[in-house]
Amino acid sequence: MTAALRLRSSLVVAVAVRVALATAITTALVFAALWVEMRQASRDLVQGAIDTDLAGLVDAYGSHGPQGLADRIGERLAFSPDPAQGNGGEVLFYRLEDAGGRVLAGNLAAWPQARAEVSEAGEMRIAGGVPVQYRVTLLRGRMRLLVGRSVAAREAMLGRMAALFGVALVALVALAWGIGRVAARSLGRRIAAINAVFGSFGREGAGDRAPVSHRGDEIDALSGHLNTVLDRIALLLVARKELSDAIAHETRSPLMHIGARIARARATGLEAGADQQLDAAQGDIRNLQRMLDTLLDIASSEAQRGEMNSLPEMDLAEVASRLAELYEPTAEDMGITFIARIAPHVPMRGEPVQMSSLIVNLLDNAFKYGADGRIIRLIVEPGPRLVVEDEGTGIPPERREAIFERFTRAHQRGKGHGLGLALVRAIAERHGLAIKVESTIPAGPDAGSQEDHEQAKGARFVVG
Amino acid sequence: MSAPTILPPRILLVEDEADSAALVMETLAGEGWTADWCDNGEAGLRAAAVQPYDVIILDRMLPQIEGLSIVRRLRAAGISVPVLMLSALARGENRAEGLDAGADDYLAKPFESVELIARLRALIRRATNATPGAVMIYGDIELHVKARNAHRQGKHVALSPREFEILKFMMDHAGDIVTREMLLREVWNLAFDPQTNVIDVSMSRLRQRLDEGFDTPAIETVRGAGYRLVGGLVP
Repeated sequence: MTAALRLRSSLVVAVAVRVALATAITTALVFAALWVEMRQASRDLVQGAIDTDLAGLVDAYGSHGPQGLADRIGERLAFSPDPAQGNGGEVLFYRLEDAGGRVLAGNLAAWPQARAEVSEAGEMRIAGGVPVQYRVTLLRGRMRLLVGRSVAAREAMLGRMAALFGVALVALVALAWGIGRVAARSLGRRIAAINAVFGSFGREGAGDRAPVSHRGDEIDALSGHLNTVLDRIALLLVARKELSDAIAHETRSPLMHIGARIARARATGLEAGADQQLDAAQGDIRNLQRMLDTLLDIASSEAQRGEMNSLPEMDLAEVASRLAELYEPTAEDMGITFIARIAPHVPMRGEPVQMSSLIVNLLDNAFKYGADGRIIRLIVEPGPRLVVEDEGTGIPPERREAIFERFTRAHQRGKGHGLGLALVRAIAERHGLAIKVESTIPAGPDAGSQEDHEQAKGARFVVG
Repeated sequence: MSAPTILPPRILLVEDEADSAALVMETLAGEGWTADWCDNGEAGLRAAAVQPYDVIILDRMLPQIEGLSIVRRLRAAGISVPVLMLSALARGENRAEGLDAGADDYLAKPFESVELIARLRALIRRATNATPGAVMIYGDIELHVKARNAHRQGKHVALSPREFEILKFMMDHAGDIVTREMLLREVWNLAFDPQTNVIDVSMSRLRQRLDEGFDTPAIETVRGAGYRLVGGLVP
């Protein structure tokens, strides 16, 4: 897996990204609300001052007439900081017009788009981009008065604040991402350690267990449970092996002594009948041992079903070729055409001794029960896929499941214990492979009657 | 090649069961051989480390130190004495464990006497003549190892590569019995005996080729045991 793919598919990276994103959105929303609120409060403050000023001027107009008003405006402007001299403070703006639009007093060059009849308030920009907040009103005699204040300082403050918010936002997101990454990495490392323990279980010399820290969090609990389960499995595997070994040892030793006694008895020279009986008894002992070994092999394979970690790389083609060579002379002797079609290289993870045993059992089976078809094929292809087929009597469909069971013989005339195919299946499954049996020559698509089905010939065992 | 062993080999037997040990001793006695017997792993390891033996017969399930670990320790200590593991654990898996641990051969209990002797002879022989010469001669059979061809009384015998391997293995053990299991393991790398008579057929093939035009058989079958090169005299 490439690093990029690992990053994309990793659970912990997704968590870090989400945390950073959520932080960014929440922070931005809070900052935006705060900024809007401050702007409004500051506006209200300025508007209050403008309105108070305006009320004073309206009063002055009422008591002193237009000239009085113009004088007041003049006085106020004299105290106002000069806009040309920069930010000495907020600059005051006034404009008094008569009904004809003639300017009677004030310092504002133009009337904004605002209606005096409704005493509208608003904001405008004058030359130089200076923002001005104002209110206009209509005086008696249809005179119009505007009172305004520049709000450049406030706008600059709000701008600085927005910039600060921006910087803070970036910093927060970076921090969240960083913390997320660190947390994710630590989590990732711990999960990787657990995965490694799972991955290596069964491999030779790998008694690794997941690390459990003093924190005692969920991952530690998971690791603890994992270790308990692995310990238990390891214990069961050892117990199983010890039991198998003990069974083998405790039965083989007495059998050996029986065999030795028979041999000693025969060595003394017996009459033909007795000697024959004892010869048969020795044969029985060998059969019993063989059955025992096969049963233990089946048990061993079943216990390791699908457990691929402990299997080495091997070439099935090489094993199969060697065995094909072993069976060729027998086939020739029996007058059977034996065709081995083996790909040059069939790599797989497998135990060569077991895979040899699988092939030998299938070939033995074909040579014993499929020989009447006069042709036997061994096909090995990458995958791996292994086929052993004959064109003999075949196996009736209703028996095709049962023949893989222990102590079930495919053919009535079979003399074995009925363990060969059970071992084949156990070995196949131990290697993560499936096995099935079908007809080599099917009845054909039009087959309907029982008689037609009996036309089907041969047994084809497919492992893959 | 077939020079008889003048001195009996020095054999160490490590076996905890007295009955089994007696059986092995009895078998060895049949050849006029004897062995030092240790009935536990620790004593066995100590004896093997001190005495120069020609071969060690080692049980697997032993008290104190088990067989596999004895072989491993011997090999780790640089002691290369041939070890025949003799065990009731007879399955392919068990054999592989024994050979992996460093044993040179693995024989399952119960064993045939001839088989035990044949394997012991093979191990001793292998230890003394490690590398066979370019030409192997036994009786009237001559094998050119590099050229991979065989002659009987000077007459060329056509053999398949696998038949050549079988004959070469038998020449390696000239005069001794080679069992089916030994052939399967050494020539076909198989750790078990198939149910069909594949070995017998291969052997009868080889025999036919060797005996064609001769009155005396080159290979004899030893009933219940295996095969042996007859080693007919050169006329």
